Amino acid sequence: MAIDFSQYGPITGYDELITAKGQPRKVAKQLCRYFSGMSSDDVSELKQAADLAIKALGISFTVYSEGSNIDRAWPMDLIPRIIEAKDWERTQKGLKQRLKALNMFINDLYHEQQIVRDGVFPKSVLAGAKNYRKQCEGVNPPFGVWAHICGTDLVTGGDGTQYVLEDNLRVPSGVSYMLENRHVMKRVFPELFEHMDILPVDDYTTQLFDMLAALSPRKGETPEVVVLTPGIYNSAYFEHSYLAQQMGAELVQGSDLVVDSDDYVFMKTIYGLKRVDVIYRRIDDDFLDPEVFRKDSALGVPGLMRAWRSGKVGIANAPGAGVADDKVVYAFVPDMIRYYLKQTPIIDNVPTYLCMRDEDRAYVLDHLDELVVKPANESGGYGLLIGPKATKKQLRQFHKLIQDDPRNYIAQPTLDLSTVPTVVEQGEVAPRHVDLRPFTLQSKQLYTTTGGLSRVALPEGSLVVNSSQGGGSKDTWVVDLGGKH
Amino acid sequence: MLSRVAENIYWMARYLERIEDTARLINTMTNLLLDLPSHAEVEWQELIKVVGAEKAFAELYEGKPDEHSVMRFLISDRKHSGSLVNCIKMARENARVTRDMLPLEFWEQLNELHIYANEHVKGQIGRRKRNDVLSRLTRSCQGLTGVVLAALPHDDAYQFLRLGRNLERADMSSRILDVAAAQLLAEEDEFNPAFANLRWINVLKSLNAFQGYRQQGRVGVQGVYVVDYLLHNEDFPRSIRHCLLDLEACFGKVPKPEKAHKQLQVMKRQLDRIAKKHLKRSELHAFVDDLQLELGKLHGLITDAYFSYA
Repeated sequence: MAIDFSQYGPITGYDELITAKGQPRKVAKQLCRYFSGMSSDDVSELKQAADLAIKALGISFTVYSEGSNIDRAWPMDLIPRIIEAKDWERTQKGLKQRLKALNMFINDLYHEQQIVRDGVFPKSVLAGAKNYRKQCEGVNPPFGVWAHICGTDLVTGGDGTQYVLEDNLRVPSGVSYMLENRHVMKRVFPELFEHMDILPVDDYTTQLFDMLAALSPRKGETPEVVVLTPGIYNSAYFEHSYLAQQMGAELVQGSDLVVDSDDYVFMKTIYGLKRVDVIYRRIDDDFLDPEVFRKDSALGVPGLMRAWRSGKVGIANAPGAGVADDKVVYAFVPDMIRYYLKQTPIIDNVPTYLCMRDEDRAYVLDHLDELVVKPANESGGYGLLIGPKATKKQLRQFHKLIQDDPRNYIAQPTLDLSTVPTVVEQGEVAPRHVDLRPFTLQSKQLYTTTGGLSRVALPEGSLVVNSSQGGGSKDTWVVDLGGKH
Repeated sequence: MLSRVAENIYWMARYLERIEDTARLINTMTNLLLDLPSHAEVEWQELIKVVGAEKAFAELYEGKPDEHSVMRFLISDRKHSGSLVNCIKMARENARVTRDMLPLEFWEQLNELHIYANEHVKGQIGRRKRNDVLSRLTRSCQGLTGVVLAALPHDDAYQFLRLGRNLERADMSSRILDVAAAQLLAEEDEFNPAFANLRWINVLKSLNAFQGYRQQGRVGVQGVYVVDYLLHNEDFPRSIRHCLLDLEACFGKVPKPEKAHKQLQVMKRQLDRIAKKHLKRSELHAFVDDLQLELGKLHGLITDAYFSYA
């Protein structure tokens, strides 16, 4: 039986490719025509081809399960998520605007704290910010930029409005899967890429390298850029190794680096010690430098903070940048945009209740079963309460958690995330919820990926897209309709 | 190249060589057993001596080493760090962190070997199955060497692989030679010459040298010639001399080779001094002892020069 999009559904909110009447949207017409010519057996066959390509390319992620680490093949769905180029242009502007303001905010926090003095950002929020690092006060990283790489989680609500759900400013991952998804899709659907104006995504790693190189303290010399990984047991090790390879940078671990008494950073090679100029670190602040942060860290490099503070090495993201990766701070980003840039935010936040505010807290506690409650500093979808799906016991538990530590919790209405047609069992196609994580870079210049990583919640009705919790992914196509037809 | 990566590659190569050599050694030993008359005893503890693990064995097993305990100890005992199954695990662990430096097929094949070992190399393996399992391990190692030969550029990674392989190989060859000679050179006269002959063939086979020895025009399999071949032949890849020459060539391609070159000169001179004829058992043993010591020194030099930063 052929794939019939008029029978597709049920669409509960906004579907990115299909209208409520079962018609393909303008950007999706060609794709839907292509798929309509196929039977579910054809789709299953293509799916197998894609899975095989993923295995052959060795695209994997690591999960910790039953006491050991397993490499799992990366789950990618066949049907892409499609965005029209002119819509994407707006999103890109919004993302750049946001990161620019966030960086001004972080720089301000570690210097004059003007925004606090002006009463735009409450002192009490700052006091409770777990990722604020006193050791970073007064440091002047190049260009005043702290968060060089930002993975922003975007969602689309039931009415088609786009919101920012989270700014990931610590060590956001996923970009390698965005690149690899495209790689696989080109193998599986060469004819679609030939006939549609799908904008390429490949330039990310060059942009990343250029952004990092601009942080080098040795001007005029080819900078030695390295990727610092916690090691093979990290769930994102594939990405660390992938990005290092693509940039032609060394993939190092903490033990490969040493800081000398003049605060220069070196890596240990078979030729001897070699100076390092820029570190793209993929380990958290806490583990970065046992001289300054956690003393028991075996992953970090003693003296790294000294080197960074004296400007002898560039670190991306800068230590302390995570202060803005806090769901309470998030709520103030639109205010920051107005305060620092004197602009109106292009992309809105999801409406957010701050449990630290008495009024908000009272509302949240009364409506727990309707809301999503999030701890301020967790990532990966951990520690969440999804009100409508929670048990009585969980609701009681969060009631207490919020009252005990209101600063640490926010609540948002449960969004009816948008859906995209997704291949489910036996080659059938059904709507599944998605989000989108584009990546924005900033040092000398600002850059945003074309599209991003679309994550999809595979079980019917599920809203959890994290790959560590059974989520899948999709290629994201930004399609230019202005060109050829 | 990062020191850590070079060290991982070096150790991985050593483990792989150890797996191949040990597996072959056990197989030839088992074959010999089948050919010997029933009253001639096979000394299983010889195998333990070859790998220099008498102490480790005594800690794990009680009583006189017999076929069961020795095989288990050498092949599938996870409590023995030098067992084949553990060497495979270590080779894979070392490769895992350096997989982007090696050809993709290399990692895939090593991974397959690891999966195979987990499934088949466990518990007590019967004699019939043992031969298949060990042959499979040997073949896998040869396959990996093949991938390296066909796909790895001769850069730093290749040189460290080669260093590890040759060092381990010289070590294993000399150990096998030493233990074989302990039995054979001294007592050749007392033995039934037919058995002596059989045993020397076995020594050659356990180093994969039987064909080469024959083809290079030796008249018969006699102890002195076999020892000479395994020590001095320049062309046979497992002879001590060939290993030393290959190590020398490696050091020509890596930085800071001075100390290692000096060390290799010392070792080559020692080898030159070994008599070609009328070699006494005690001389050979003393030589192997020295060689082991010097190989240890060479390993120390490699570690100091490339892997460690005090």
